[in-house]
Amino acid sequence: MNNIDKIFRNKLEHHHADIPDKAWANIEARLNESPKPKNNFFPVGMMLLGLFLVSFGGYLSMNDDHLFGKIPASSSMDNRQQNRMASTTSVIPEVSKEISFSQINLSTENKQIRFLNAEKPVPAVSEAKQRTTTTLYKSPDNSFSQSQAEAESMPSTGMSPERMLIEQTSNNIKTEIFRQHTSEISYLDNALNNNKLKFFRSIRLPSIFAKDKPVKACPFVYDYQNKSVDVYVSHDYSPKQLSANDSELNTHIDMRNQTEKALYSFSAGFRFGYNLSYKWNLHTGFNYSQTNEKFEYIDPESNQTRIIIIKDYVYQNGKIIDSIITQETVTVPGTTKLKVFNKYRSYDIPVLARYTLFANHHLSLSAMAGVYLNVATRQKGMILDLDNKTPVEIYVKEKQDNNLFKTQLGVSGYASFSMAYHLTSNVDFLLEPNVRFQPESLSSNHYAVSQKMNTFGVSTGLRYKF
Amino acid sequence: MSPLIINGRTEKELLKACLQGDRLAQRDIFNMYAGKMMAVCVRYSRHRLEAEDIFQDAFVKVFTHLAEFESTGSFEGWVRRIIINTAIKNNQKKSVSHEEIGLEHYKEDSAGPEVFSLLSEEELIKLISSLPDGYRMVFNLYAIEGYSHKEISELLNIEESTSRSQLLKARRMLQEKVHELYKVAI
Repeated sequence: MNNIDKIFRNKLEHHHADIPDKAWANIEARLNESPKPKNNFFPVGMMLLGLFLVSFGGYLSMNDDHLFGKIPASSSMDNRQQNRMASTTSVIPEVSKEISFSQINLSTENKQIRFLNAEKPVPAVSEAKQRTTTTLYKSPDNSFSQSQAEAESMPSTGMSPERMLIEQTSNNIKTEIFRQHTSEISYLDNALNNNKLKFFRSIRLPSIFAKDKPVKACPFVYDYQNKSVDVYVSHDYSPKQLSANDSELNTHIDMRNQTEKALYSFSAGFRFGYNLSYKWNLHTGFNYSQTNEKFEYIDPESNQTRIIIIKDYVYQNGKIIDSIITQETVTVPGTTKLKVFNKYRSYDIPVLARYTLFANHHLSLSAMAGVYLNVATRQKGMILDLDNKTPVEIYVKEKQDNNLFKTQLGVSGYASFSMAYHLTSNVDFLLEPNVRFQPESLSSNHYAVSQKMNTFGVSTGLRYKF
Repeated sequence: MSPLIINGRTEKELLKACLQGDRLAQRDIFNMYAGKMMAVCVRYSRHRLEAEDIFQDAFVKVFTHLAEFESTGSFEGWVRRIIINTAIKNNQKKSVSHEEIGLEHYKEDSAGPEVFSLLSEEELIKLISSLPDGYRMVFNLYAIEGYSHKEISELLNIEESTSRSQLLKARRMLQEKVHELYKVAI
């Protein structure tokens, strides 16, 4: 840096200039347009909330019984301890009341007291805590020195010698506690565990979400959502059953079966759900079904009629003076191939009951059954007539006496096995193998051949719970 | 040293309030640094209007990116860096081509450094503002802000040798301009 630079720096480094008029007003206006600055604490808060939810979810998943009000089995207690806890709770309830939650976390320290002062009578809990602190940190006796020497001989784990000592002492004490079955130890241990149990019971999920509501059905963890909407598409296959009272029509039925082939069919719809009780749900909505078939027929005796027109000219001296037209009709034997895609459409209102067989945090399995109330049916396409030769249309616009098919089918049965995978707390993915029984014949009563269609399908969809 | 208190709040408290979107705190912070930062803007600009644009753009950035400020460093230094970066970007956006001014245009006889000490701050700023954009940037960054040529080359996306060359040319041009100024005055 040369002298010129220094002069400029010294004079201008801390130089102030006049602030332009309305500068702040302009900046403020632009700040109002721009999005608000992010709060530094928001991501931290969200992380803490997420951590809490994960921890809480993990706890609940390990202790599902909490959701149903059962007493959780503590992993840190053996059966003897649990038995002792039950007996202690009934004998000395006043002790449980005296122990605050903050003291529960100090259970290890309280156990240390018993080890270091085993020859002394058991003090009250608060007194015991105080004595532990004094013994370990202020006036170490022989046992402390021995433990300290052991702690110092241990490989380094990054802990301070005091902390290692406490850890080691704690382990020794745990062993000692199970070996010695003094009534005093049981007294403290059970009282503390009892309070811990009370604490976890108090934060059960139903107590948060279901204030005064009765417990509802699946999925159990979201039992406060007692309404749902399903949207689904079912991929169906609908084989056809043809029957006739007259055995002479068997040939016709065979011809029908040969000429009509089932194709991919589908149904789609929506249905509302409501939790009736613990595991029972009622669903109703609207369903559209379309059964597809291919009608293929080759008429071997089909004749083609051709008209031949012959025109003769009359010449005179090399010039045309007149013409004569004659017409002939010729029949040419041949075949006729016909291919038509038939469609059987059905509009229904399902009324279904669903019973939850199994549910956890990820999945629920249900059995569903009920009826489909048919609103209307429509058909379009062709089939062979009873003479086995003539294809006839099955298109039905409205109810007429000579229709081959009905326009309304009454009631059909429905059953399915429903699997709901919980995508989010509100949305489930549905996979539902289903079957639909059609007791009513599709064909009109006056038609000699009865036609029924049962449908087998796999439904996929989404369920939104609210 | 006791912290500067404005309207009963320290800089730290004001910054915390700014993060919450407190307009009064933002205005206090603005008033605290506006004069000094406007001077920086003026030094980096050819004229006052350009300086005002840079000034406003930079302060909007300051408040919208305040969450990125790490309180371990000086807030003033952070604001200054934003001002300088805004000025550099503003200069790069200019569509006008760089002015090519050769040293042969300048006379050999130029003013000595002692002449500059006689000039006021405003006169020095006018001299800087009269420099071509590239020279002005390099001179400001090197002579006043204290950046190295390497840092300048990275900031301005130029070669280090270019930075050195432009600094040299800027100094000579300033000397020439001062010489002309004094000749007129005499």
